[in-house]
Formats: sequence, C-alpha cells, structure tokens
Amino acid sequence: MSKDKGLNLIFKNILDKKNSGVKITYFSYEKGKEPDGEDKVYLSGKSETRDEFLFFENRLKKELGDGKVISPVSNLINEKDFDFSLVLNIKNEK
Amino acid sequence: MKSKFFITIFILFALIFSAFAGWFYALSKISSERKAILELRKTILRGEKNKIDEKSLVRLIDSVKKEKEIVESVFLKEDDLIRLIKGLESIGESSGVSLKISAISSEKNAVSKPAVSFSAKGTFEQLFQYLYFLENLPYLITINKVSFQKEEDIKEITQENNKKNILTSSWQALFNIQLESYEN
Repeated sequence: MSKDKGLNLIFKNILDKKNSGVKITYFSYEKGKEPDGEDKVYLSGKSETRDEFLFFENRLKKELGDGKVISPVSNLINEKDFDFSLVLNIKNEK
Repeated sequence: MKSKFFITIFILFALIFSAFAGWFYALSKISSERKAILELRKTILRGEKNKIDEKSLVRLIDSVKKEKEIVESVFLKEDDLIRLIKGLESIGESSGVSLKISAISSEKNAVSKPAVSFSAKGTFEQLFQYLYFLENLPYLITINKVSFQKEEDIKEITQENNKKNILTSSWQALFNIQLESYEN
C-alpha cells in the first residue's frame, strides 16, 4: 500500500480491513518529512472485543507488514468495549 | 590721378579681403556641416543598431515564449489561488459538505508554496467523496495533513408534542494542503 494510490484509496483499503465489531472514530494522515520516507496514518476507535481488534490489527499487518503497524500495549489491557489507537507507516513513493 | 590709383588699390584689397573672408566663412561652414553630417550618421548608425538589437530581442522573446509559459504555469499567482479556493468550495457543494477555510499562507516569493487549511463537515460518505474530488482537482496538490473525526451531537426533536433527544453522528475533516503547481 503506497501513497501513489491516492489517499482515498489508502483510507478505503484500511477501512475495508475492519470487521463489524470495530468502529473507527478518528483517522488521520500526515505526510512524512523525507521525500522518500514514510507517511503516517493514525487510527483510533472502539472495539467490542479484544479478538475483534486483534483480527483487524492482523489484517493490517498482513497488508502493510509487521513493523509498519504500531499498536500500543494499552490496546490489549481490556477484553471488551475498549478504545484503541494504531499508527500505520505507509511508504511514500511520491 | 594719384587718388584714383589709391582708390583702385583700396578697392582691389577690399575685394581680395572680402574674397578671403568669404572663402574662410564657406570653409568653416562646410566643416561645421560636415561635423553635423558625421553626428547624424552616428545617430543613424546607433538607431540602426538599436533596431537590430530590438529585433533580435523580439526574436529571442518569441523563441522562449513556450518555455516562459511552462515556467509561469508552474508558479502560482494570486488569481490561481482564488481559482483554487473556488474549486475547493465547488467540490464542497458537489459532495454536500459544509466547508470552512481557516488559513491561507501565501508568501510573495516563489520558493514557499501557498498552503491552505480548511475544515469540512458532513457525513462520512460526503467527506470521503470530498477527499476523492480534492485529489482529482486540476492542480498539483500535496496533502500535508488530513484528519477525519467522528462527532456525536445531541439533537432535540419534537414528535407529537413530545420532545426527544436523539444522538446524531456526523464527521469533521481537517485538511492542510499545499499547492505545488496550477497544472496537474
């Protein structure tokens, strides 16, 4: 998933990975400082269960690569109805 | 007899003197005219040289006209910025979002490119469509930042004399874009 696809496609691709138990309440994109560096996508939302969140996270990791999805440990503290946040690093090929 | 001789001599000298004076006058006149002619010739030459320079300059301008247009199209002018703002508003209307431009940083120098910050409110679909339209505007735009935030509002509605509070959700998007060029 690279920036040259267009932001709307990047967002669509991310949101398509979401399952019904996960609700996104905020997402943002920030262009990287380096010309061939990485752009950042910040995601936050609510998940009904930990498993649903992990399923979503794993789908993102499969798409972007393990190291490209940063998930704080706090995302795993609660088992049900919790807020989560993620940081995705997207390669900027512009 | 003697006086007649002197008168003749005097007249002769006077004639010779006047002939010399006339000759000197004519000579000085000719030389001054010559100088004037030389000056005129120099002026004509200078004029011709200027004409040639002007013609070659016009030819040079004509030859770089295309390049000039290309370069001018790269740098944004104030009119282009107004057109962009109108474009942003127009796609806002098309997608049904309410748009609010919060800041425009337009520097006079060509090095720093103008940046526009604005917010848009609407449903998620409307904002997503707006983002799509934004990326397809006929400008070379860099999206520096964009954020989508879900907002929940409590709306009061009246149904058969009963007031009810319902939770409605809308989205707000904040954009920060930078204009690279008028042409995409």
